[in-house]
Amino acid sequence: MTEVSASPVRPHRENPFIAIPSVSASEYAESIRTAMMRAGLTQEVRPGVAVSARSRSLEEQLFDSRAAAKLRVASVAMHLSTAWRERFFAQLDALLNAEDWDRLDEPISEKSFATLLRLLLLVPVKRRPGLGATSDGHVVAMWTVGKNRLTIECLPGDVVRWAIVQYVDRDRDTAVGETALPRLLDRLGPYNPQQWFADEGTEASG
Amino acid sequence: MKGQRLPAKDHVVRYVPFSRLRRDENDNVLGVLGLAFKLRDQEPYLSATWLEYFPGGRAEQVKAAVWAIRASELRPGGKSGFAIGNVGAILRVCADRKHKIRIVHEPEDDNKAHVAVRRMPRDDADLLEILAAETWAELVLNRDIEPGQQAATDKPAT
Repeated sequence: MTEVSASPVRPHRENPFIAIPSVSASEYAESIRTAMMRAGLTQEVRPGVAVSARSRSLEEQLFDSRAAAKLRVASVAMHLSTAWRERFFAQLDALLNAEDWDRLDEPISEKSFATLLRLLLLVPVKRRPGLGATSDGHVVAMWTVGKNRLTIECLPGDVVRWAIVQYVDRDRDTAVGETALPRLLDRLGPYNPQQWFADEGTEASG
Repeated sequence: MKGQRLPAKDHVVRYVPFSRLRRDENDNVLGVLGLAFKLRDQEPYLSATWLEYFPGGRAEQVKAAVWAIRASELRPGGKSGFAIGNVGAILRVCADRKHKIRIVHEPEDDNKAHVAVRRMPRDDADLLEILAAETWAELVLNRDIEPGQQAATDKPAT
């Protein structure tokens, strides 16, 4: 297989590569919180509070998980276009919907989501990923081009598990690994990650 | 018969929640994630439903299997899906990676067509990706099966 190196648009720096401010530091985050309250979502959102406490209903836990994720996004709003954020929020709403959530699964943890956000800001991703989740509360980012698939499970603490299925002619290559986020592009390099990241997709502009 | 190994020509159907469906950035469904076949920490086996337990042609069997899953305690969500795989192919791809799994009919109170996939490895992520990409990859969406539910009968069709 021909190896093609990744060509990151942004410089690859050792961590800390980006600082995500605390959610309360962002005016945008506050406006989101206010809007949610006005919309009748009267439950107060407390960033940093563990979302997996089983004393609350699944709906409450998913609400908290969703809200914490959106506040995290809001805290880095300056790096993301409005259209990108709106579509990403729609993905979060669909993913963390109680009607479609497996009742045995842990809601997505805030720490896992923080890793996802750092991934999206570190890696030169023009195309939003599809979003999924593991049974133990890790958010999953996925990109698919034809039969070639990239899946990244985001663990707390800027650690990711990645899996690739790629076809060269009719030969299937698979590769999996676990690495610290700053080294991810190096690990994916032999598999031409730009095939997944470079395309903005049909509706991702903005 | 309880404990019966499924014939290699038969198929198994696994419920896949929305969160484990492979989707694009606009939530269009493209397939299933390898994670759809990952055992939970305390799970001793992977659960599925025996397609040929139900009578009729392929379409009738798929509908009956989905109805049986809907009637079980799983209560699949409206955006969920069902991955279908051939027993022989699943056994083969696992054996190629040195895993001697067993696919066994183990009826449960809420699903008489329940199948246990035993001895699935917990640490072979490559295998899960291969299953999702090729071997256990036929996907039926819950929304595409007509509304209704009906528990599986006590005896298989064959």
